[in-house]
This record gives sequence, C-alpha cells and structure tokens, in this order.
Amino acid sequence: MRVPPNVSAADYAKALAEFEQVIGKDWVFTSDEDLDLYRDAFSPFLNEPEEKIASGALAPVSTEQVQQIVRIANKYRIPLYPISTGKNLGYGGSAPAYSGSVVLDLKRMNRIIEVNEQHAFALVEPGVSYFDLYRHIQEHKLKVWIDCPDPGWGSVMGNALDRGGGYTSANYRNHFDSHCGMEIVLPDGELLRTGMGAIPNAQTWQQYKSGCGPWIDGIFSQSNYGVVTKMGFWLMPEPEAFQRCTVSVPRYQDLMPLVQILNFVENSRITSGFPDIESPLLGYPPVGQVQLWNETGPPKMSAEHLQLMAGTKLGFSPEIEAYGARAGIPYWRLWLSFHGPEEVIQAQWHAAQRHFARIDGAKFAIVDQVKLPVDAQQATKYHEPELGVPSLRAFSIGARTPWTPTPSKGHMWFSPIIPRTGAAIIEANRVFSEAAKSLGMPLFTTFTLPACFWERSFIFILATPVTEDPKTNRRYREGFKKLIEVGGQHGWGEYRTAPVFQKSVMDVYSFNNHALQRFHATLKDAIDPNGILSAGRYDIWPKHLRGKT
Amino acid sequence: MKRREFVFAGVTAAGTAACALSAVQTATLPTVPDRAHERPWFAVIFDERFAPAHAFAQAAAWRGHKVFGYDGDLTAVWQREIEPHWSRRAGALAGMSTAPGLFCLEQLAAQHWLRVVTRSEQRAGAGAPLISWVIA
Repeated sequence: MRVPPNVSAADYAKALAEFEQVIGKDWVFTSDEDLDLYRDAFSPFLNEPEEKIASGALAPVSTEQVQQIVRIANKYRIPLYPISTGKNLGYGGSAPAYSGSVVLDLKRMNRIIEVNEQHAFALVEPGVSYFDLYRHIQEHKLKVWIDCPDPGWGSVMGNALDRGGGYTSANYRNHFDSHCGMEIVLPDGELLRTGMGAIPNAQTWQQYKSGCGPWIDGIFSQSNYGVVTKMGFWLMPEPEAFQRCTVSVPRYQDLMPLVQILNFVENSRITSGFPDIESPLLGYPPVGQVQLWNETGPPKMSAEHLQLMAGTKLGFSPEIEAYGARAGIPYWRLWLSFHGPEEVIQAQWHAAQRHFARIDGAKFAIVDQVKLPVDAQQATKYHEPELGVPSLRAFSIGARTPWTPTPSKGHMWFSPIIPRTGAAIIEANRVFSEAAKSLGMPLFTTFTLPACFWERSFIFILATPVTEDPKTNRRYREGFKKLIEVGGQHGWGEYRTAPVFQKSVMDVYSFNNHALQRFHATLKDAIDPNGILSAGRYDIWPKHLRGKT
Repeated sequence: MKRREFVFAGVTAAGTAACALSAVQTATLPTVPDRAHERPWFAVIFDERFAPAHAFAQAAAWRGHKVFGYDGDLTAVWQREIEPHWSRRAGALAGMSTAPGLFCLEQLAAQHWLRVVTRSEQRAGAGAPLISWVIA
C-alpha cells in the first residue's frame, strides 16, 4: 500500500480507519488499480518515476463528511488534494501537486441545489458536470443557458476554480468571474459562506457577489486555502436568436485595426459573443472550427499557396499578400457572434459593420442565423459550446487522420496572457517561435493566433506535445519552463498551468521580491498551519515543506 | 454491498448472453480476460464510420446485446445511453472505436470508478487503427 510522504504507515492506517468510519469502506481507495484512475492522463512525466501520483483517495458525499475528513487529516497530518472531477487535462488532471497526497474526490457531491430561472443562477456542488447541469435545465424546461468549455465533461465548479473559460456571451465566458457566492470547508473543518451567504437565511446569496467587507472569493481559486463545497453561478437567459458573422480583411497590417475595432465593439457590447480570429491565407483555423478541420481536413490549398506560406516570416511576405489579393483569400477573418432578439442582433451587426468598414477592403458575411432554442442534436451543426451545449466532439482533436498522421499522447497547454493588440500577436509569434526553435520544440507552423475568451486580453495558447519517449518529454518540459521564463521577460505570464510548471509560472509573478508569493505563504500559514490542503498548488507550500521540494 | 461486488453480482439476461458469447470464439468480438467474463455488458457501442466496427456491432446485436452507433462524436450516446446507466449502477460496456474515442470513454468511465479491462487493436486498412475494448 502506498503511504503519503512524511506520514508513518501506522498513522496512515489509523487515519484510513477513521476515514472509513466517516464515509464508509467503499469510498476509501488504496489499491493501485483504483489509484491509477487518478493519474494525469496527459502527464508530462509519462512512464517516468517522477510522475505525480496519489497514495489514496476519499470520496465523501456531503459537506459534513468533508469537514470530518479534514479534521482527521489534521490529526494525522495527511496531505489532501481536493478535486471536483479532475478533468482539466493539459493542466494537471486529477493527480496531486504534491506527489503522494490523498485525493479528496468530490465527484459524489453532485447535487444541483437550485437553478433559478427568474434570477438566472444555479447553485451546485463540486461533482456537477456541465452535462449534468445542461440535462437538468433541459429536463425542467428552464429558459437559461450554461456557458461550458470544450469538452464539456468537467465540473462546473472545478473549471471555475481553475479559472477556465467558455464560448457564449462575454458576461459568462470567464467562469470564475461569473460565479456568485461560495461555501467552503476551511482546513480546520470550519464552514464558511462568502458574499451574502454569510447572512443566515440569506435571500440574495446568488444575486450579489461581494456582501460587505473584504471580498475573499478569489483566494479560493487556483489555491489551497479551503475545500469549496457549493458555488453559485450566473446563467444567461435563453436568447431568442444567435447569429454568426465574419469580417474579412485583405492585408497583413489589417490585423492591427481589426483587433482595435474588435476591442471597441466588444467593450461597448455592440457584440458580446465569442470572437474568433482566423487566417485563411496562412491556413490558421478559428478556434470554433478546429474540430471541423480535424474531422474533414483543412481547406484545400494550391501548390503555389503552400509554397508561399512556407516562405513567410512571422506570417508575412509581400508575395503571399499579393497572392491573397489575386485569389480573393483574406489575410484575416474575424468571426463575431451575437445572441438576443433578432431585431437587436441586426442593429448590432449593422453597427459592427459600420465600425469595421473603416478598414479598406473589409468584407462582411452572415454565416449562421439560428432561431433558438435548438436541441443538442440541432446544435451539432454548429460549434456546440457557442450555443451553450456541452459536447465531447473535441476528441476528434488528436485523432490520427491523414492530415495528423502521428498524434501525440497528450499535451501541456502553454498559455500566456498577452495584450489584446495586433502588434502583441505578432510580437508573441516572434518571441515564442524564436525561443521554441532554439529549444527544438515543434510548436509553430506558420503563424499562431490567440484565443479570445477574455474581453480585455488574449490567451496565446500553444499545445506542447507529450510523447511516449521520456527523453523527448524531458526536453519539452525544460523547454516549456524556458518559454515561461521568456514570456516573463516580456511581461507575459500564464493564466493557468499544470502542477509540474506551477513553480516556474509563479516565479514570473515576482514584483517586489516576490511579494505576491510571500503573501500567499503568509495566508497559508495562517489558514492551514498543518499544511494538509493541496500542498504545492500554484507553488503555495506549507511551512514544513517550503523550500524543501 | 461493495461497489465492485455490485458490478459482478448484477448478472442479468444481457449478462448471461455476454458470458455465453465470451465462451464463443469469434473474430469480431473481444476476448475478455479474467473476471471481466463475469460482468454483464449493458451495451455495445461502435464508431459507425468504419466497416469493421459495423461488423463488430452486428455480431454483438446477433448475440442479443443492445448496440449503439456514433459518428465519431460520442456526445449523444454518452448523454442518452451510457451516463444515465452508469449514474444508476456500474456496468460493463464493450465497443469498437478509434483511440481518441476510447480515451474519452476511459476518462468518463473513471468518473464511475470503472476502467478499461481489455483492449485489442485492429487495423482498418490504411486509416486509423480501431480498438475493441471492454470497460468494467
């Protein structure tokens, strides 16, 4: 039997016996067979001894059981690693940040406590997946939408606490920002509610976020200060219609005004759906069509086009620009989407066109006009998450196809936040492609475009492959850390990362001699003096392990 | 009753058929090692884009299994057939799919403390290899 680090076998046995008393023998897992289910399927340490693994797993079914578990863990100094459903592949999965921890698996806590149509919110437990919440809404014929990532298999709460994003309207795409109220089991077993939830019999827990006094919700995301057991989310009232349109522009330099105008129309709420940038001329797909490209292959290109593409530098050459003009292939295409009453959408689209028309040669098209609601089957004609419908279709990505003959064994997401400008896109391409080339990392083809989940910044996402060869994986891991460092030198930091890279990422957030990290440590010592919760998560270590791992 | 015992104990009519068929040597259905023999398959799913998977499904249907096809996107079969079943009780599932399809199901199965107990790769011409498998 595996034993957590710094815990004697005798103490672990006593702790397990007490855990069994609380949650029942069936929900305490110690066999290799069961614990293998908690391995990170995309571990960058695939087939290496350093892979982070669990020593045990506990699956409570209630908040009260979680409280009792953390009290027992304190008694025996058992390191716990809470997960909701552990589906954030590419960012660590369900494997603990501190290898040998006992996973506190909250997936049995899967009650949808309330979905309120009138006030458009949901209150859920950690084990509720996007599929669960979607099905509940459909079955009860409630006129609200969820906002889900892609794939939609994960936990609503887990994705928000990991600060993930989705694809509908700007108000809801940032999943942590769209939460309202939490219930948390603190490391000593105390139960805490945030925001208006701190009022007994609160009437507006899911309607007003901050309550009064310091607003502390943020410290429970990407952290290890408590076990969140309930969380409220604002939902989008079901819109009457959805429309997807494109703005195509002909020249390389048009990327600058295209992004600038996008920022204006989005921040003014002229458009609020998920914006998506592609380059037809450089063969770079919009995020919303990656799956389609994977399923059916990328658009066909002439031999001349492919040759010109290979000759571009930072995605540019006068020759390819001239070719695009001749062949009628836009350099850039921006996808805009709109949700709401049809007459409002038409007015918004009209206004958006007026702004983008400032770019000489801009062309406009309406691609989809969808009367809502649509069911899950009808939604398959589109990129489902943009219609608030969870999907597993993303698993066509990574499939072996004629155009992807050697898919990887997984990936590590490298995802720095960069400014929302065309210039920053080009600069990030320059900086990271040069770094990746020198590190021998196959991250770039011709040009990379960022994802537009957030309203005020881009995520420049690159998938670093995981292979079956430990030597290659070691090189990629070191390269990944170097890219983090290079990003930091340019003022860019990751928004989220897998445990193996959390120290490197947090080291970039070093203003004033790492004041932020020192503050995190101060909080950790005060809130969790025995260091039982998620040791090492985002490089926040308890005192007894600090500087020793 | 323990979770895994529950899986083993639930021998239904379909399960009996599964046991019977596992005793029959066939080229199209997976041979299931060890205790997975005892587990009833509540359904068989197949990637209907591939001819060998169709043959696999026909053989399974002929032996009395509930069979569900999908077109590469598992969403509908997951939502309608698999997840509702696994939410109620554990149960073995067999199928033939591509590697990413199986990977997706393997991850979803782990949500219910189920795992892939057998997998066998089959070449389907020049394209992606198909895998026949059992999750239990």
